Amino acid sequence: MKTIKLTIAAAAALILGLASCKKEETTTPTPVATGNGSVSIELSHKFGMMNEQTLAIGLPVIHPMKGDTMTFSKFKYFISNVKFKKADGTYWTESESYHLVDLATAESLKLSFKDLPAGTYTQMEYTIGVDSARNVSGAQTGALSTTNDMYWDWNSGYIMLKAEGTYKDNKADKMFAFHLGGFSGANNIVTKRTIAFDGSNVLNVTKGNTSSISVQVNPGLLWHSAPSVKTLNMVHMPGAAAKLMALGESGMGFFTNPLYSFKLISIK
Amino acid sequence: MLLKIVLVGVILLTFSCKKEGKITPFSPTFTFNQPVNFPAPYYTFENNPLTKEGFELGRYLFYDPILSLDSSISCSSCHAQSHSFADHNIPFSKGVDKKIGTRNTPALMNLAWSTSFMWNGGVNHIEVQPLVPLTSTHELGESMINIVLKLNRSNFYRTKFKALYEMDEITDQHFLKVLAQFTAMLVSSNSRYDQYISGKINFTTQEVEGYALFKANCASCHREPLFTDYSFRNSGLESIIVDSGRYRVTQNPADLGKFKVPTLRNIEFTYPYMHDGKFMNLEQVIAFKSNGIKDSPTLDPLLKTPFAFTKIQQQALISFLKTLSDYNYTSNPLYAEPRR
Repeated sequence: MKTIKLTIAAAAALILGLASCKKEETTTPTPVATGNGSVSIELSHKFGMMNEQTLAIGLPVIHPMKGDTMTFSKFKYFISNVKFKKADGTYWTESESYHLVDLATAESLKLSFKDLPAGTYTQMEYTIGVDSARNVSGAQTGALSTTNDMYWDWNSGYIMLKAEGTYKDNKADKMFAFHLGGFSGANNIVTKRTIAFDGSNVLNVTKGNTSSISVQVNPGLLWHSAPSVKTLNMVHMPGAAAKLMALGESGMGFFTNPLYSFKLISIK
Repeated sequence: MLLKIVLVGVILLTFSCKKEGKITPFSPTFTFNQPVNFPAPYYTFENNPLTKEGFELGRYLFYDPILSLDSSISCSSCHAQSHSFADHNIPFSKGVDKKIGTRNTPALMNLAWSTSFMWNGGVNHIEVQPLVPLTSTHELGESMINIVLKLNRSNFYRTKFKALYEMDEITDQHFLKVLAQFTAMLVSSNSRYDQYISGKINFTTQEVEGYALFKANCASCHREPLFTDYSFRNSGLESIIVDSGRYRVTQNPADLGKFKVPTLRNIEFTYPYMHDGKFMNLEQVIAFKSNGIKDSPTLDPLLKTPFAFTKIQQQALISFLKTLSDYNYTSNPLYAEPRR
């Protein structure tokens, strides 16, 4: 009799335990299985028609089309929802995939992804900016924390890109501040992109190793369609100007340019 | 032996659930008070499970001047319970460094039903609304970085937050979520109007007349039972728009001078009225609505023809509006300043 009671009590405890923890099982990422590797993406920021100028905080650069001499004091933007597609069509999807790239912080220029199943990957999918869902879902954390100074409180939504600094206007130093955002309707600048791994650039993830993807970023494309900073030196809300800089005319903006804005250089 | 096994079970249970990030609420009976005559709320505490401890923590923060730049004011300085969480009958509120705001402080109630926040609707979620008054230089004047820093330095808050969240540091997300637990729980639904609707009391003849006038003329924008339809309208305060209102958010010229339709609940306690605090009493507001509305390109179409209420009708409307006063709300100890 006592044994039965004990068994029932133990079973009850087990069932309770299982029931109360059910949610956890579905949200916890799969533990490291054998045969997993890592991928890192290293972003190098360049300026100029031939990517010949290095873009860094405090270093003057010259815009090849507009002729403006610009010195950046701040350059930050979001990359989110990163997925890697395998040759067999399956995806590895990063959970809570929000990265704030900040030119002032070297660590932020390298995005690290761990525990990808070994194999050949054909492409990477990602978003420049923060998807609309996170713009309408209240308080967030991590890269999306309001303490990162990338959020508009008065007109709820993330600043997808922030570029600030000075430019030369008749030898005088003047300030520019571009805060680009907009996640819905006609103002939407959130852009989904892919990088194909083909030809000489094949992404093979192997057990215990890290594959390093080098990607070149050219923020000069913000001014491909937008006028000179001497004409427009400030954008601080979603709208036509933000779209012109991020998306550009005919998809030639910084977020959209298919050839030069986020260009695959090499995979090692 | 039995005790031992059950104990092991309980310990296992505790351990296995630790990764969940949040502990089980201590008071599972603490729930959102859904009034029977209200629709389902817009904010459902999704991703922010309501607990008594979370609510209490939000209440402490609402009343704590630690959130302002110089520890001089709290949320409650301009949102006083006795005034249905509006300011103390002044047109514009005073922030840090004696700076004066530009719009009348809205009363806080039934926020869980609100689809947007602020007079111009610029804020899209209850959890991120506090960012505006907290960081505005004309209000609490503080930065989110400093607020997080100050909370983490406080043993009181560290202990309280640690009891709620699996965490090393208090984040802005933790802070904003508990604040939303307090503000979303601010429910006013026990006015004489509510008692009349549920058949518990009768209205006076004048109140009945006022209610009929209200339903015929006002209820399309001040929709029952929340007494707002959450839309943005130009109510005809000025012929030349001074405050662009909703336009600042949408950049649409059709939105010039439009503001969110405010709820009329507890209106007796929340004077002065309108976004600019122009009218000191209900008599002035109803007289304005009767014959004072000014035309402009964005004036609401429903206001183009003057209501031309007679003096007797105006008095009846006012007596109806006073049935919306909820004294249980303005004196509810659940919302009062907590002891520490």
